[in-house]
Amino acid sequence: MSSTLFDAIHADPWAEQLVDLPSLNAEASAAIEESIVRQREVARTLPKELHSYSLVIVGPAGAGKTHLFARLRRRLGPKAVFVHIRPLLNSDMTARFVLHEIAKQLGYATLGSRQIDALVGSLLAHLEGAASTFPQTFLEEIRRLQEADRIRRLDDVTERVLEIWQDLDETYLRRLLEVPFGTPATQRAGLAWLSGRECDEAQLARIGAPASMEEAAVVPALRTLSAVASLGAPIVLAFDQLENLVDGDESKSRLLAYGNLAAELVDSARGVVLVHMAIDTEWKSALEPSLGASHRSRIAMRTKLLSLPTPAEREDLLRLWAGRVPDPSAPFPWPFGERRVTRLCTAPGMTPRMMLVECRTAIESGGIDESMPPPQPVPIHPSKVPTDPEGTEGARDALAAEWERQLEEARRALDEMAAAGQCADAARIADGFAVASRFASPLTVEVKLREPAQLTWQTPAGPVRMALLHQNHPRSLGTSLAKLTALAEKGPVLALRERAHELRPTWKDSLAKRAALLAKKHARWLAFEREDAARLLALASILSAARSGDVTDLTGCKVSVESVRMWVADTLNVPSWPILKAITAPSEGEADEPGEASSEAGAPRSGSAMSVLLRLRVVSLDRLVREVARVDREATRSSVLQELERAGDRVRWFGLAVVCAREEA
Amino acid sequence: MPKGSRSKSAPDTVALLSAAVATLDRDKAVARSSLGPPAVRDGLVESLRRRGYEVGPKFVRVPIAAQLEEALREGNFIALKTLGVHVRGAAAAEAREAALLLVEKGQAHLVLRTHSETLVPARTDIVSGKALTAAAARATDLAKYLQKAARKKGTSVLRSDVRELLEGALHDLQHGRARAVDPGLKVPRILRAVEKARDATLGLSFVPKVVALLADELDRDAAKAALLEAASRGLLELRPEGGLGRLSEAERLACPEGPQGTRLSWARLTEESA
Repeated sequence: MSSTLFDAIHADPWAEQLVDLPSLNAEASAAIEESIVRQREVARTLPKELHSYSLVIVGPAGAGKTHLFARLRRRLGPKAVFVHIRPLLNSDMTARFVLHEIAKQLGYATLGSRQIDALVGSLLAHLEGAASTFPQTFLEEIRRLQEADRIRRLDDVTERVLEIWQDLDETYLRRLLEVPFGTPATQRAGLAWLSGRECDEAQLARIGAPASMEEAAVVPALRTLSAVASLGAPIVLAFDQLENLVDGDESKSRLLAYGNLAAELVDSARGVVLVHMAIDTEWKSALEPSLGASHRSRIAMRTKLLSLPTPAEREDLLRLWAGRVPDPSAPFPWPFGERRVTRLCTAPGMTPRMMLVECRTAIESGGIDESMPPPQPVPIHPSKVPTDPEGTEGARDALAAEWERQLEEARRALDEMAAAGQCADAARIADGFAVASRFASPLTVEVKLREPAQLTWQTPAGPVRMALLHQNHPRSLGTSLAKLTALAEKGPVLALRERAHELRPTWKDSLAKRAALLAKKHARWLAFEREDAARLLALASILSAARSGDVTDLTGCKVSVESVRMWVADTLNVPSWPILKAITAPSEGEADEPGEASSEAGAPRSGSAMSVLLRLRVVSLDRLVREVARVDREATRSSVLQELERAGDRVRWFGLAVVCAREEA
Repeated sequence: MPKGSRSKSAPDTVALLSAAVATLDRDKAVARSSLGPPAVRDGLVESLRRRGYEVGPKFVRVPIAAQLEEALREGNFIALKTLGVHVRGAAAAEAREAALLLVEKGQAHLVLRTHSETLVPARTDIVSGKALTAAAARATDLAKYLQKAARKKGTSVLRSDVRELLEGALHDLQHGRARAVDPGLKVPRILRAVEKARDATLGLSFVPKVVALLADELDRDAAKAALLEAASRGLLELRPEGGLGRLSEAERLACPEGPQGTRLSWARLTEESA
């Protein structure tokens, strides 16, 4: 989330603070807002006539597409559920992926209110004849009821919804309605189940579900979710940065897959508002022409072009931003200066992001700097790309800062998943591997998410199949392990499992199946560290941002994709990342025995494990490893164990899994 | 399309014919099956053929050549691979054949853009024949010069020299059109060209296309200056290129420079211009 206005030149869809000029792109905002209102009205008055609505929003990079999402989210608050989806780079988006994103973002809050509460609260309020304006208040009333009364009310609501739409999934509907009333752990489990992800046994037990959602139930789940939401807070699915679907030879297949998905959502999910956002040039030149007529008619029911700010709007923006500078030492045009304000208000082709960058420069220079000439344009034509990263130290600094930002964002996302008891998203991790492979020549990789081993690496020594074991339930994990064992008969197989989600000692069947897998000559097990995952996610994300024109140097010039690639190749040394080295040099000790360190990470900071243990006093080994990894990203299980062994009498073990710090004498 | 009545009375062929013509004017093609009831369909097809429409096995359409000519008149550059976007009711092979015929007749040029063959209006400034050979020779000289410098360790070349040589490769081929022009006087023409090049879906006009439409009246720099003048008067909005390296060198040069290293490659008429 953004900290200050001028630190965040790229809009954060979930920013807590937003500086907004309502008149800017008011028409596009109004188009989406009208669609939401219309969906709610139709759902309430003519439910059988309810369909999905889809519109396209296009504009140049920095014109405010993502800002539009943030604006509407804040403006409408609980009147709609907003879901922001960036496309996968190397694999097709599926209905399950969309369901997962919706359910995940139901847990996000706007103005202090979670979207799941808004959805359920406004639905219940409407069906019980109350105003749906304050869903939280209505939920509170129901929370105060005795459990039996509450269950009766929810049953009644379920029946009434099913009377309206008989084809909805009753089980899904019941679990959706129950979420806001559970304990925090039950709510997490409920949302995990609703997202279609694999739930572990404890989560299933909490919500009383016999199993996680099956593939066949995904589309009915989407249909149910979108229809019931439309009665109170319709779902707005915003697909952002669609230009990332255009990528060389693969472009058409991914684009067509996207077209199919969007068409399926339009046809099978009632009441949802689909918003497709892309750079105007890419939409016109590559995206739209690649879609078939049936796709186009479903996706682009209405197309809205984002305008650039007029001179008057630019001045209003500058005044707004100037008003956010703490302790102003002079009235506007301070801190930008008269000359700069005039230039920013009159220069053709100025996007809000370009203005923000210039304002940041003005503020960093300490206020008015009338003598400063306007920044010299730096050509970004591909033929001049090689000069970009090598020529300017500024571009390198900006890329380094962007990388850190993406890395932090990835860590935050991973922590969020871990807090919900979920493994990292296999599709996103696969994306990261696919991007990383481009920097680890001669390695290449093919991604097929439906296969038991989702990645197939081509290495100099031949193909290697890699499985991302993200399952949370021992049964499905065991099934995958059995399939991998069969695969290992034919050739090398790498099984990856996050360190934080090690197989539990009670999962005896899974452990036995893992042992069977590892007994095969070609099978290896790799424990995947949080930092490995963060780097892969950040790498995919920075390249995706570059394609969308969202990576800029310190003067605001767009850094081309090629320049970012060159910087990555020069700076990040991707082939040396432990997880990639494990693929290329399997015989050099990278392969783990289960429970050992996965990587050749450098020596961890001495004393980090003991300092964490002294803070927590008594802790399981698993948690200690996780906590140490948060403060010391190089730490691994074996490094923590080594440090504990070195501590001798200062620690005391309870069995093999729990450790405590002894009181100092 | 109105459907023929299911009653016993005869279908109104006049109404069906005018509906078909209206559809053809709008969509450029109409399926034979949607013309009307089978009993009168052949008669309707024959009437449409007499009016100059082309009749295919499944569609009746505006002649392919006419469809292409219209697209070219609007300033479109049409990649042969995407002919289907501009031509309705025809198979790809038919459309390609018609496109090549236009080139043969001199009503369009076929140019190579990166890897794709593209049909462009006959008035477009192109390099062909001897001029093309001369440009290739200049480019080869430049490549040799750069390779020579690259081979000598520690040697570099002046950026301005390279730029000059690159521009020189095309400079001799210009038709000496540079004229001093007051950009303000050209604004109405610019607005007309922007309107002509406007894409119906997005309402945007590709600036190189606008400059090409004005090629007979204004040279590139004059057209760019007039575009900037119109933008400064608030008559049109010039927008930065957001594409991922989609501009060719010639297109890039046809676009005015924008802020922060961008090129203003798209124009949109504002309400003030109405």
